[in-house]
Amino acid sequence: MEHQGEPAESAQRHAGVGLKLVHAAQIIAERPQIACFEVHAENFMVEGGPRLAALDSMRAQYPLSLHGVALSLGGAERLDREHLRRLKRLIGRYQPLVVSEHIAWSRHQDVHFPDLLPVPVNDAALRCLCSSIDEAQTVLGQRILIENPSNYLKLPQSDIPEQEFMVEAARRTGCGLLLDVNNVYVSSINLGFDAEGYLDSISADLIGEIHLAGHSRDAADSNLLIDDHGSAVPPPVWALYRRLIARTGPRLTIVEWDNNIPGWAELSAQADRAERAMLELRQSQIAA
Amino acid sequence: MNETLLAYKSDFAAKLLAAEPDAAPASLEPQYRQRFRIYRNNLYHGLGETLGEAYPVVRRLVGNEFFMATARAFIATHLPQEAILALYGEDFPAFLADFPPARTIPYLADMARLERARLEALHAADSLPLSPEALAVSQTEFAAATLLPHPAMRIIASSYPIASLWRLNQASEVQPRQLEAVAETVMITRPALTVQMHLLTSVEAAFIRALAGGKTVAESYVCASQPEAEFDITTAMRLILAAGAFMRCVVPAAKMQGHYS
Repeated sequence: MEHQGEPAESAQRHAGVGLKLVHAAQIIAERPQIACFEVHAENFMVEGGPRLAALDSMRAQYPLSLHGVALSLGGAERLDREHLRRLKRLIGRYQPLVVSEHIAWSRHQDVHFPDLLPVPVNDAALRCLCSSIDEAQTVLGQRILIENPSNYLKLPQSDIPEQEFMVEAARRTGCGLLLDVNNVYVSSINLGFDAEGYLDSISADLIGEIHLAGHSRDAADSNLLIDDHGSAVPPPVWALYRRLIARTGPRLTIVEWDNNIPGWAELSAQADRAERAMLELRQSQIAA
Repeated sequence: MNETLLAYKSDFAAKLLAAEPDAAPASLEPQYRQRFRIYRNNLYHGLGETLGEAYPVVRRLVGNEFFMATARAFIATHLPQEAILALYGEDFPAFLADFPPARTIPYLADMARLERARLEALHAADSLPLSPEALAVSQTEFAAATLLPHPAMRIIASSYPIASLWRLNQASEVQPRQLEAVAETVMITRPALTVQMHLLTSVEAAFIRALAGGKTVAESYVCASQPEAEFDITTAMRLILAAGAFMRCVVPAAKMQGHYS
């Protein structure tokens, strides 16, 4: 298209945002330079209409990332095959860069809880999770990334550090990791562990994507952080991010901002900031 | 599957839905029990917002506080049966009709039915609507033809001026004005990407319902022809085409006269 003379810069971009449909018309009209837009897969599991039409237009201009929130990989039950088939159809339609899910559960018997509910981290849960990841990757015919949760509770019978739990799941199933730096930070405050140590322990070759977001302090309990995706990425999360990419090198990075949604300029500035952090890192490494 | 994990999930799910606001899984250490409310809030707030986005006029009519309390009562007995929330809340209109606190607004359940029909139309399968050219057949063929309804088409009949009330509630500030207290029947369509509403007379509604139910044009005409109301099929067909209410015209294959004699 018209940018054919200068593909190098856009080809090297790595930062994107979670797509908010309120911005879609502006994005399609202005065509900002963004590496990728991420969408929640379930929001597009409809038969037709304006949502799919908007995503079709987005896909014509940008790569997409499909981020599932309801597969219930950690649920210790057989996966919902119909849901997997719908996900597979979306993958066929949009040919995303990456497909990711969470290590949470959201289905019990036949009831769906629209939330990411916590899984104890122990050996039995690891075996269940791996069998679900195997099932998903087999049906979908592709590798997925799994994301670390934001934690509020220390669950009983949890005897494996979460980072080891995730790394072991990746080693056993061949899946990759979506590392949510904000979730690591929120969990480290809520449960009291060392966020830097958590991030440092994860082998760079397993990390396929990074999430950034904002959080808030609970109104009733000032020791509690809530992962609400309702504000800009705060300084301690940027600091952890810089530390992480210094070790991994540039990675697909998605900024999530799902509540109190800002204008497009404010949201895209967050992606630009992540892009700049990766660029500065490359330049300092070249200089060194 | 793992029995310990399933037992943990059962307990967690039961406590999420428990009536007591401070319920928490017994296996949690005391300092974490307080935090279980985060998951309860997420559940009710998340689904309440989903309902609020699906029923914006209902929410506006009753106010946010009443709406979220009503939503909570609905959610407790209508948990999602599937992972996709785009069409969550199908039973909400019926729930409102039977919910005594909501009866102060007599047309509330009808408004919910209208908003539900609009939501279903929004997410329905895409299809090109019937074109006038598809109706270029002989009069005999047209009389014997059937029309396939467009996937988005819905008809809502109310004893209140429900479409006018809906329109009145789209403005950022409702201008008080006198509405005629008439029954309205509204047809919802989505020929392209925008949901449309069209008012129908009772005979037009009878005609379109008969067609959508699979009756032939001639049979549907009979359904619509009532002694007390005039039915003009030309006007009705013009409306059907303009609104995109149907997507295909099926003309039965002509009988081969005398072939078997």
